Amino acid sequence: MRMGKYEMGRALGEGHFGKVRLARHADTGAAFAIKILDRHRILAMKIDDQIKREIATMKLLKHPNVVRLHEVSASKTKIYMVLEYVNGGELFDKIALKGKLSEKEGRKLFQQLMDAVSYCHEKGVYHRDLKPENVLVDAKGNIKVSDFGLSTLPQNQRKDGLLHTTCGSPNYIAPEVLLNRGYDGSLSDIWSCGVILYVMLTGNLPFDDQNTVVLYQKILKGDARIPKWLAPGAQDILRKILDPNPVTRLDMTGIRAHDWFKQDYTPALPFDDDEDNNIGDGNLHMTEHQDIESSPAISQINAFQLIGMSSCLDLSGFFEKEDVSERKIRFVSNYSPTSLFEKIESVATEKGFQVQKNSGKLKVIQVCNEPANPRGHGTLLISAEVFEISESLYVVELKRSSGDCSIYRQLCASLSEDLGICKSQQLLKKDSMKQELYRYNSSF
Amino acid sequence: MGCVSSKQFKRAAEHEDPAILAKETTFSVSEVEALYELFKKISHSIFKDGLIHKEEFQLALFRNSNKKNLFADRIFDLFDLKHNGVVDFGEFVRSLNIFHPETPLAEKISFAFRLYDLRGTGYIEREELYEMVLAILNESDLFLSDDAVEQIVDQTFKQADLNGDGKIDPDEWKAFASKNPALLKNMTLPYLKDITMAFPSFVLNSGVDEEEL
Repeated sequence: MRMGKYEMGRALGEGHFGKVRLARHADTGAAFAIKILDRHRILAMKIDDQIKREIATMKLLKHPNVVRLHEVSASKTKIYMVLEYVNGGELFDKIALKGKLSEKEGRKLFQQLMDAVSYCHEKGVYHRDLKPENVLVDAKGNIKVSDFGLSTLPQNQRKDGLLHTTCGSPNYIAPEVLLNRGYDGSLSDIWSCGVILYVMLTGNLPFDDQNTVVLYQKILKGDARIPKWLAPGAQDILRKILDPNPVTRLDMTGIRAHDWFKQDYTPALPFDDDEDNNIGDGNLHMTEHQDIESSPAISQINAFQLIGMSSCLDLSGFFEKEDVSERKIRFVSNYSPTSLFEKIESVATEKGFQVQKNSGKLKVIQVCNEPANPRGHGTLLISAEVFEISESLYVVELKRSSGDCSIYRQLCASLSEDLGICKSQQLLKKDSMKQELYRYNSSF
Repeated sequence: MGCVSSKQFKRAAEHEDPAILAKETTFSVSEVEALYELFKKISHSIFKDGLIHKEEFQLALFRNSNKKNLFADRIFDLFDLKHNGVVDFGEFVRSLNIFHPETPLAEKISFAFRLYDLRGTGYIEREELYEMVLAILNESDLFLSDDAVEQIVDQTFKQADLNGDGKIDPDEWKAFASKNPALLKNMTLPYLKDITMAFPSFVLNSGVDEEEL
């Protein structure tokens, strides 16, 4: 059986709306998981808007610890979602096999889980159904969270495992969700992550009972028995996450600042446009600060490359909500490339950004742990590139991949003011250029 | 025109069959259907007649429907394959196909040549290059002295105009662009790889049969 470029294989599972099948790309042989949804059923249940929303949401998620949606296809009767295939199985099975994980392994997986969840929260996406069945582990032992963005679709609950005593049992659900009074999606996901951490480290559920009503009461009371044999740091973080009061519960910033969490922690960096081509290369690790011993390579540009920089030749406007000027700013400078990169680095670090050198560019990163808001907040990712126009004349290009536009503009203004050719020089040149341009236009 | 297989395409019978457009381009049938969602959005932004007018094209690209700019006009003119002042769906798909990451380099090189051959003489002349450099500098508020502009144009011509006749012909351009792939950076839109996810409405409107996928 074939779907476009994909050769369909065995069924990997069955859900409420259809099957998930293993598939291979006909040209590359790469493996994918294809979720096949029944279109008529979706229309009959009037969740078509939701499906569109979920696809648009999953498109935003490009992170090494989140299962990636690669493309969508459709026919008259079916909708196909081509997903990253994770071949290591569920975290659920890993725990069932070992009974419990070592503190070191549990912490590593929890760190990756928090990276994934934090990244999605920045994008304004909440899972609402985090449990070990939705957390996959790849062949290298890294976590991949699945069903982010699809969490509001009914799931088939598993009945056959260690962690589920009753079908659809709400073992991982936060107390405020059970109370159904409206809740902060970020804090309820954190609660679920806390339950997962507890299960990883102990092999048991913190709240469990055959009787659903009793189980609800236990969750609402939040009196999890935290074993004394766990390391003090692990006990402390569990106690603070499994706090039934969302107001006093440890939030993402608190978790990242916790000593137990910080041990051996290397945050994973989201894939940006450049890294998209290297999806298979595992986590992109980032250090707090990397010194720039040798500046990224500078390329001299010719007239056609300069012309190619025109925003009017940039067709990304068809696909972006914001104007190109909100994403790309340039200025001319007389400073040497080394001075430019040093200055950009010092201004960025002064303002609390992290700096990374990467394939001929300087990357400026501001990790934000707050949920996204409509103004596009979240992790700010800016790449700085320098092009040589002629001897001692350079164009600096500052490109924003994601994050708060106003912070980006402030940083750009500050850099162009410090490093750009001064305005009086520019104005003199602008007049002579306008005359030149007029002369040329009138000759055509 | 091909037969119309999709429900959404039946509403505007003049639109070509997505299966035919998919065969002629790098796009899959689903990608063509997703592009139709984008096309509908653009072609109904001002005139609502199912065709993209220059004002709609510029509104979509620059959030401004009457941007006076050399390159903005050039791009629209190249999309308007039939030279009738509007862009229909077939023209839109075929033109965007040039920008697909998997489209052969030769097609991108040829499109870029036509873009920069302002007068349509079959050559890129020195005056055209000079005018384009001035236009980009003016548009970007990047200010260079006349000497610096001359120097850039001279330097580029020295590299590209192999026979020294003062103009760049298609073969010279091909050799120059092949040696300098950065020239064609703006000829690739990574967004087109994700087009089905950018416009997911098509999944509920698709009229494609299983075997057409």
